[in-house]
Amino acid sequence: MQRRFLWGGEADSRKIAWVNWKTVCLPKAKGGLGIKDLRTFNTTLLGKWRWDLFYIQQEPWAKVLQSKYGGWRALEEGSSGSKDSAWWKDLIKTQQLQRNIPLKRETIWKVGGGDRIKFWEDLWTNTDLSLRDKFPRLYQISCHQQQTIQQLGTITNSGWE
Amino acid sequence: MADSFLGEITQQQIHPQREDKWLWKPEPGGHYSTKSGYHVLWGELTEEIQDADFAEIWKLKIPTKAAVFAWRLVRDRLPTKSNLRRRQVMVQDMVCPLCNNIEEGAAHLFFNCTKTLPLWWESMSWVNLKTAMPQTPRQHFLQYGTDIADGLKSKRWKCWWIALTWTIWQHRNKVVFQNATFHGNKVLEDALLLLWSWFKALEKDFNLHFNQWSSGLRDAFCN
Repeated sequence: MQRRFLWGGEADSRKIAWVNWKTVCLPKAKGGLGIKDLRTFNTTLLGKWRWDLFYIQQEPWAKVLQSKYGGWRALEEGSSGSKDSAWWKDLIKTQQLQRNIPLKRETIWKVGGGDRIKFWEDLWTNTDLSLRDKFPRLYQISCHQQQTIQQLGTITNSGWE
Repeated sequence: MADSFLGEITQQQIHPQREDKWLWKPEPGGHYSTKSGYHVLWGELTEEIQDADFAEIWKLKIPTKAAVFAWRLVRDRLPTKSNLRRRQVMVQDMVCPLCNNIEEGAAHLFFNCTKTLPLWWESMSWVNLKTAMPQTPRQHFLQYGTDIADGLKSKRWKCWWIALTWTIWQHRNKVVFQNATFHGNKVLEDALLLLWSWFKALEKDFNLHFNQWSSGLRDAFCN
C-alpha cells in the first residue's frame, strides 16, 4: 500500500517502483525519503512485549502470562508447550526470528541480587560468552544448570562465594 | 581453569537489596523504546548505504513535490527513455525529443543537449560564473552552488537548479505527449516565474514584484 501511494497504480495494477524500498526508507539525511519500513517497525513494537513482560509484573495481564506460559523467561528461551494459545506461540515465534537478534544484543543484564539471572546460561559477566559456553566442562558436571545466581551463591561480607 | 572461573564471577558485585535488571543500551535511561529499537534494526539493515551528499535538498524552501523530483533526478530515477528501456518498457525511439540526435538519458536531456546546455550558460552569466559542468545529474547538483562566485547565495542557487530542471522536464513532457515545440527562452521564463512563486510563498519578507525581481537577477542570487 505504501508503495502504491508513492509510485501510483490501482488496487489491481502496479507501477514502476523507481527507487528500491530500502533506499526509500532511509532517513532523508542518508539519501532516502524517511518513510517507515513497516516490517521493521512491527518487530520493534513486538519487542515491547518482551520488555514489558520483564518489567511489568504486578499487572494482571503480566501475572497471567507469567503463571500460564512462563512469562519473559519462556519468551526469551522460545519454549512453549503444545497447549499454549496460538497467540502466545506466535509471539514466541516472532521473538526467535533472525531480525530480532539486534534487539537482544542491545539488551544487557545489570546484576542486582541475582534473583532473575541464570548463573550458567545468562550473559551477566563482563564477557560476551555465558559461563556455560566459556566453561562447558564445569557446566556439564554442575547439578544446578538452571539455577539463578542467588540460588547458587551465598553472600558474605567480602562478596559472595 | 578454576582461577579464571572465579575471576570471571567475582567481577560482578551482588547487591542483595536490588533486583536483576535489563538495560537497553541505545537509550541513556536504559529503557526500551520502539523509536530507538527501530533505529537499531533499520540501521543494521542499511549500514553500508551512505548517500548523504544531497540531503540538503530537503532543507531548501521549495514545494515537496519539487524536492521529490530533484531527489529522483539526482538518483537518475526519472522515466527518461534510457531508464524506461532499462525497465523493459517499450519505447518507440530512444532519441532525445529536443535534439532528435542523441539517446535520452538524464545527463543528456538536462545538461548536455544542445537545447538545454545554453540555459545553464545563460543562468551562470547572471552571476558571472564560468566553469566546466559535470556530466551526471548528481555531480551537477553538488557542484552547482558550491562554486565560489562573489556572494553567491548557495541555497537560492540550488533552488534555481531545481526550478530549471523541473521546467525542462515539464516542457520535455509537452514535446513528447502533446507535440509541442521546445523553446529555450520560454523555459527560462517559466522557470524564473516558478522560482519567484516559491520564494514569494515560502520565504519570509520576500515581497518583490516579479518584474522587479527578474530584471535584477544578479541581485536575486547574490548578496
